[in-house]
Amino acid sequence: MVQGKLSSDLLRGHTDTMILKLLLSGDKYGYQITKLIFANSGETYELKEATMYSSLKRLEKEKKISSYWGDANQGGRRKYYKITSIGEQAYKQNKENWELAKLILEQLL
Amino acid sequence: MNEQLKAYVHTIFAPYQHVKSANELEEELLQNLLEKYNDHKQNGYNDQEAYQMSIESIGDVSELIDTLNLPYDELERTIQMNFSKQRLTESDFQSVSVHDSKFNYSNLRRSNFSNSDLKNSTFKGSNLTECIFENVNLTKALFSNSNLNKATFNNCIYNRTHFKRCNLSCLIFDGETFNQTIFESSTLKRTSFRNTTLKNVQFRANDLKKADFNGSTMDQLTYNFLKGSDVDLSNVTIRKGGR
Repeated sequence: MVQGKLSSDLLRGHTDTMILKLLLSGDKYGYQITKLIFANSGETYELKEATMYSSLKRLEKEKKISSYWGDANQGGRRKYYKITSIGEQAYKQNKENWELAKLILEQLL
Repeated sequence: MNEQLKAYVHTIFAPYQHVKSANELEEELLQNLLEKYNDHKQNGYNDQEAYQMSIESIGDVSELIDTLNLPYDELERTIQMNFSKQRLTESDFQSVSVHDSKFNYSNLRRSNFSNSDLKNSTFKGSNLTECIFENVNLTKALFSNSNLNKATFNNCIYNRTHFKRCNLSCLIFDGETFNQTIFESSTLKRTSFRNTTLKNVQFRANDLKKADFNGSTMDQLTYNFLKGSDVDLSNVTIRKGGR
């Protein structure tokens, strides 16, 4: 588990980009997103539901993703999220920004 | 346990039942938690552990409410009401959202706050005798110098709720979950915390004579706060680690 408030804040700032990346490989619903983030981080980072939804709602408002309800299964419906072309552009841009920031930080820290 | 999860999630959204975005988010969140719960169970956790881990994965409830994008008039109606210095005995506050409200120096005897959102609200010097708090969101609520004699608490959210210089004698909190709750300089004589879950709860300078913690589960921090007092902690489970 990632320890401390600071390190989880550092990661939290990139929630939008993490989610956009996951949606590049196909539409996903909420639990799938948190599960993949946990697994892909080597089980070190658990994205909280509240943080995820705050990000999803923001991305949707900015038209970077869209959503639709799937069919009911196991007694409940799942809402799926889909990346838009604006979202794909945003992902590319964020990723480039991160590569640049990483270079700068590596020299400064 | 599924019903318990459903009830917990419902408590969060109860004040916004007429808002469509709230209904949808409730359905989504519940579906995620149910699947998460089942996965934890399959990974060998028992009912209580799986439930607790699912609940904890929600994170900051106020962040969740902020995403609802509540219409302006809705927010206008729900925030920062001032009920201070009033005589409001036997009032009905059921299912209302009055978070960030001030109920200071009010006489609220026998009022019913069930299913309401009292996040960030303050009750200073208030008379809350025989009040009912069922399915109430008490996140960051402050009760100070208030009389809670014979009040009823059931299935509430106590995240960072602060009880300061309050008389909580003989109250029953059985089965409730406390997270970063603070009990400070309060009277907790014969107060019952049977089968509760306590996480990072602070007990500072209280009178805990004959307080009952039988069957409760707590983390090391909470245990350390209680260890110094003369509470019987023989039938308490201590959870190790951060999970």
